[in-house]
Amino acid sequence: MKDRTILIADDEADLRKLLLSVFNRAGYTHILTASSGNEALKIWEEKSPDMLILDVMLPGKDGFEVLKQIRQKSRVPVLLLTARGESEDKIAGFENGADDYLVKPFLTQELLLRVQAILNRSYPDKERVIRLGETQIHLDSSEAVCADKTSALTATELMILNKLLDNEGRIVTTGALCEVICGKSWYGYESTLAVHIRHLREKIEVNPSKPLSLLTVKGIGYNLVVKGGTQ
Amino acid sequence: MKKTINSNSDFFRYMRHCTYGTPVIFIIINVFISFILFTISTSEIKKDNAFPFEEFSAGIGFRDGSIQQSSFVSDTLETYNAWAMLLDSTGNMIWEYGLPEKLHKSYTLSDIAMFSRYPEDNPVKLWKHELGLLVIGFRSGRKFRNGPLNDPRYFVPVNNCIIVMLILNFISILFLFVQNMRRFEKAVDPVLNAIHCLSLGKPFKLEETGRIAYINAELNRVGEILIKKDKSRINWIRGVSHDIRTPLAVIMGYANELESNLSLPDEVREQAGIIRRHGDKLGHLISDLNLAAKLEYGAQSIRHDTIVPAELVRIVVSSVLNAGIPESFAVRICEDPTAEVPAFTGDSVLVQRMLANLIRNSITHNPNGCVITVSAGICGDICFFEVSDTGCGMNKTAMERLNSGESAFGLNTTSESSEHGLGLKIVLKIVEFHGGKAVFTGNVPTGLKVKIELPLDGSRA
Repeated sequence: MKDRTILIADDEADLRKLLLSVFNRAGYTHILTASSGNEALKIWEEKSPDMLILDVMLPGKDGFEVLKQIRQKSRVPVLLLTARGESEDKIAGFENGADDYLVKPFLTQELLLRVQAILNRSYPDKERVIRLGETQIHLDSSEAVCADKTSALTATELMILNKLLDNEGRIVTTGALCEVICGKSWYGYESTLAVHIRHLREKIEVNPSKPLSLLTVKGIGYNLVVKGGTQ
Repeated sequence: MKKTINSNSDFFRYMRHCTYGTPVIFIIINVFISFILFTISTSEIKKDNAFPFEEFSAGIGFRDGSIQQSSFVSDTLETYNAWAMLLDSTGNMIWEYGLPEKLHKSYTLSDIAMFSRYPEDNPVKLWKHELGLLVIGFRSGRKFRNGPLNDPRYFVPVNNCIIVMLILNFISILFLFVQNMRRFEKAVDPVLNAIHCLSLGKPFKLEETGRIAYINAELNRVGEILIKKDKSRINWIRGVSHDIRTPLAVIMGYANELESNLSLPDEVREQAGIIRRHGDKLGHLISDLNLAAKLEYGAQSIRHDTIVPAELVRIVVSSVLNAGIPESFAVRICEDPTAEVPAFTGDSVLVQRMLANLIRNSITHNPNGCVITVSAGICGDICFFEVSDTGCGMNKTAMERLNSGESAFGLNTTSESSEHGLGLKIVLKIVEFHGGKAVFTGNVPTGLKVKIELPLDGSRA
């Protein structure tokens, strides 16, 4: 995933330099930059990056216009990075086809996590393996190998795991996990979720009663700690 | 077509004309109607008071070989204090009654012509009689019985006239009063509504017609100016906050990079961490400033989301924890099963902001750390949220002002220097938006407790 090409378009030179440094430090090797909407379109047409990070307030064509033009020909994932934090701007961004919207100022870790989540969704790696301590989870075959025991993951368990992986290291609320499984009308599903979590722990934790990876945050939700990293 | 009033002087000139003109018109109409009523009601009396020449003449005639008068004739002459004589064709007097001694017994034509020259108080009337010319003379000082001042027969119609005029005047005044009140209400009601809208910063449009068209036009103009000013303020604040965000993102980004760089000394990384945290505070301050402006100037519309209060609390707390808080703080949730149902209607974004501001307020004003507890629940038709901490609390004066609905701007709330400002103002505004109430109290044994009660039915907002 780290060898994917990412194009960053922002008119602020220092911010471009910062993001270049952040992505390089995170292991991304192919980062392109643009300082205007027209330049971003030109680079996109020539180099076909795998993902775009667009500022909305670009000189010339703004981020929304660039996005509209791109969407006429491509479904390449786009994250809008912008100072315009009004809800109308966010709605406009998503209506124009953005995959995510991050308001400045932002935490660089959050940006990296969102980019990673978008890339994982857009370019699912068939050989993707998650290491949780001594456990390996093969997402393509929906299997978990823990202490030489292989367990099949159900579709629901896989959905829960993917949601937690998208927010790796961050707390995901009970409601957010329930919504992933059963949609907007998730009320009353909390106890069922708890059962799924218990089954998942039995498959991925060495000691399910003392989990080290899939942690409960009392009263709030769950947190997946990936110590071994992903491949 | 009504004359349009274009200025204050026109308006007050019109009012003066109405004020002075109305009584004058009333007096004229009263006099006119009184005269007509009096004339109609006393016409019979006047008829009665007129000398009855025909009957009088008929009462004089030949009886028993001589000219005699009836009792009617004598009574009439008594009533009118008059005398009468009858002259034949040669001017000789053939009959008389009550004739003064100085008068002749015969008259020539020229004497008869002189009868019309008698003075006003001694008029002489002539009447043709079958036997000749009837001459009636009225003595001076005769009883004048045909005037309204001394004829009792006039008293009743005059009284009736007065009563009728009083009733008519009363009805007219009442009618005018009611009409004027209705017109006044019709004209002033929209103006009062417009002034009320002005106080709330809401737009309005008055019809620029009628007597007070110019006042309505001025109010419309003022309303437009004020709304434009509010919009300009909001746009300016929004513009400034946009301009600040990108540089702030650069500052926080590099601070984060330095903080994460393990090759740097701990002290440098700690300093970078301080820069990042303050950058984060600035970011929240900018968002709060934007929202405060929109809430203050009525540019924020309210959504009606169906909310599970417990999940809303979880979202806010997880966001705070995911953003990272110093180790000296702990944020806990107090669970309440009543809050696990989607029973509350409100603006989920604003309510999240409200809770986040309260949690951040506890973190900001307790530099030594504390435990922050957040809870939600439903009681009757109220959804309540509570944020309490075990910190140093808030002084009584500040709490009383917040509980009275006043803003906490500019208050010294602790013995050090910290002040609760924009964040709490936004909390109170959001509570007000939802038609709820906020109560600030001291926590036991120490700290601050804020309880927010919002109506379950967000339609009150």
